[in-house]
Amino acid sequence: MITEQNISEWAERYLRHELSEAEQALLDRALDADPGLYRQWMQSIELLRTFHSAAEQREIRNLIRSVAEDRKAWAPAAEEKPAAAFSWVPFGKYLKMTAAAAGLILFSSLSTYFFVAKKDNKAGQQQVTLLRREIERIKHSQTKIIDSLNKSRPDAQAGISDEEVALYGGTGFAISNDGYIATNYHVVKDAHSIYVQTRKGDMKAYIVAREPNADIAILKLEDRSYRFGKGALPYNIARPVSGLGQRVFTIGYPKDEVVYNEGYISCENGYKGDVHSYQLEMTANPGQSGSPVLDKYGSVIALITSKQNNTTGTTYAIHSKALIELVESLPKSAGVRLPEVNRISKLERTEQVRKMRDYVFSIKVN
Amino acid sequence: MTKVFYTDTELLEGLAAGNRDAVTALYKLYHAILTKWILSRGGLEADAEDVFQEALVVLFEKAKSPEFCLTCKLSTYLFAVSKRIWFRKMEQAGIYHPLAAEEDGDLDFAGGTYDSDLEQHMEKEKQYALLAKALDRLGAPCSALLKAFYEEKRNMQEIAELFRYTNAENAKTQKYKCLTRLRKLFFAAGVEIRH
Repeated sequence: MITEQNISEWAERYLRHELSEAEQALLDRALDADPGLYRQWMQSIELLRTFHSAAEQREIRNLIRSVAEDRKAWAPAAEEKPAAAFSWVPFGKYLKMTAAAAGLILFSSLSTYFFVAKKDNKAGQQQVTLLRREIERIKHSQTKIIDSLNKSRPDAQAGISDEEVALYGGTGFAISNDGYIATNYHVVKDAHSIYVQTRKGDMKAYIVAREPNADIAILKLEDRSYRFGKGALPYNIARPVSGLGQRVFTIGYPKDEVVYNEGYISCENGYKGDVHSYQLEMTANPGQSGSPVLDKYGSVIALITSKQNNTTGTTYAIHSKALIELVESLPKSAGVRLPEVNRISKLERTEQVRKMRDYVFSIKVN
Repeated sequence: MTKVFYTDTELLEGLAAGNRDAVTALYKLYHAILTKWILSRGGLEADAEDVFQEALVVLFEKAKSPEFCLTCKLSTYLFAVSKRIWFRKMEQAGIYHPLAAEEDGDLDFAGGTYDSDLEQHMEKEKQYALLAKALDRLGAPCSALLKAFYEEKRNMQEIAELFRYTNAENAKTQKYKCLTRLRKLFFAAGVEIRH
C-alpha cells in the first residue's frame, strides 16, 4: 500500500529504476486515484533530484577548488618562481619582454639617430639626387632579361649567370640609327652588364665613351645589325643653348612604362651655377636619368641627371652640347653620325611623342 | 597527467564525469585568459577565480544534462558564460547597469541561450540554498543521516553503525521518516516543482 508515509521510499526506488512492472502499475493507479498523493509524489521526486544534483554539484565544486589550489598543475611555469628578497624580482616575469622592448627601443632610436645623422651629412654635401632608379623587383626583371636574351640570342646564354641581377635603371635615347645610345654616366658607371629594352626585348650593350665630369655615357648595342627605325632619327640634337623660359618636354622610364613630362627652363645654369646644365621646372623621378629633354620643336637640348632634394619639381639636365662634344671626340672609325635633321618640328606634341618614343629606352644595369 | 591535448568533447565528458585531469586541462587552457579579461575590467584575481569556478559549474551542469549539445567552441561557451556571470556580479554590486535596449533586443541572438543557461543555473543555486536551509531546520540527527546517505553516498550498513541504529533496516526506516519531514520543510518554503 502506498501512503504519504512511504511515498519517499517509492520515489527513491523509482528513480533508481528498482520498481518491478507490477509495482509500477500499482504506483500509477495509486497516483491517478489520489491527487494529494500525486502532489507528494512529485515533491518527493523533486526533493530527491535536488538532493542528488546538489551533491553532484558540491562534488564538482570541491574538485574545481582543489584543482584551483593546485596551481602547479596548470599555471604557467613562470608564475611559480618564488619571490626573492629583491624588489625587482617579481618584475622578472616580464624581464624577457621588457628586455626585448628596451632593446628594440635602443635599436630604433640609434638607427634613427644614425639615419638622420647620415641624411644630414649627405644633405650637407649634396642636395641633389641622381635620378637612376633602384629596381625593386630584381628577380622579376632578371628572369625577364634572361628569358628575352635566351629568345633573341641563344648563343649568348653562356655569358649570363644566375648571379647577375639588375640593380639600377635609367633611360637612354638613340643618337644614331645604328645602335648608339646616350645616357647618364652615373647610370652605367658600376655596370657589370647593361641591358637596353628595345622592341626586340632586352639587348645587351656596352659603353663606347664616357665623360664622368659631364655625366654622359654613350652605349652601343652588341647586336651590330640592329636598327632602331627604318630611316634616320626623327629628331636632332641641338648645339645652341636654349633660352630661359623655353617650354620643354621629356619622356623616360621612371617605371616600366614610358612616362611623359613637361615643364620649362627655369634657369640657364644648373646646380650651384653649373654652366653645363639647365635648371628645369619639371617633375622627374628616379629612373628618368638620361631621358632626353626636348624643346617645343622636338630637338634634344639636354639630358636629365638629377633633381633637387628639398624641393619638388626642380630638375637638372646637362646641355646636349656636352653630348655633341663627347661624340665629336670619338675617333672617326667609331662612325657615330648624329642626326642633323629634325623631322618632327611641325607636328603636334602627341605626334612628336609618338615618333620619339621608339627611340627612348629603359636601361637596366647590373 | 599524461595527456596534453584534449578535444572539446573530451573535456566536456571529463568534466561531466568529474575527471580531475579534464578540470586541470580547462584551467590550463582558459584560466589565464579569463583572469586577464577580468583584471582589464577592473576586477581582482579573486573575482576572476570565482567567476571561472562558477562558469565551470555551469558548464558542468550543461555537460551533465543529456540533451546538451555544444553548438560552438567550448572556449566560446565558457567565456560567454563567464562574462555574463561577471556582468551579473557587477549588476548586483550596483556598479554596472544593463541598458534597457539590451533586454528585448537580444533574445533571438545567441546570447539568449547563454542567458537562459545561466538563469537555470541561478535557479538551481537558489534551490540548493533552500535545501540547505531546510536541512538546517531539520535538526542534527536527521540532516546528518540524510547527508551521509545522499551526499557522502554511504550505504545503509555504514550509516546504521555510524548513527548507532540496531540494524540497516532500522536506519532505512528512520531515513525515510527524515526525508518526509524534509520534504515538508522544503516545499513549505515555496519551492515549485519543475520536473
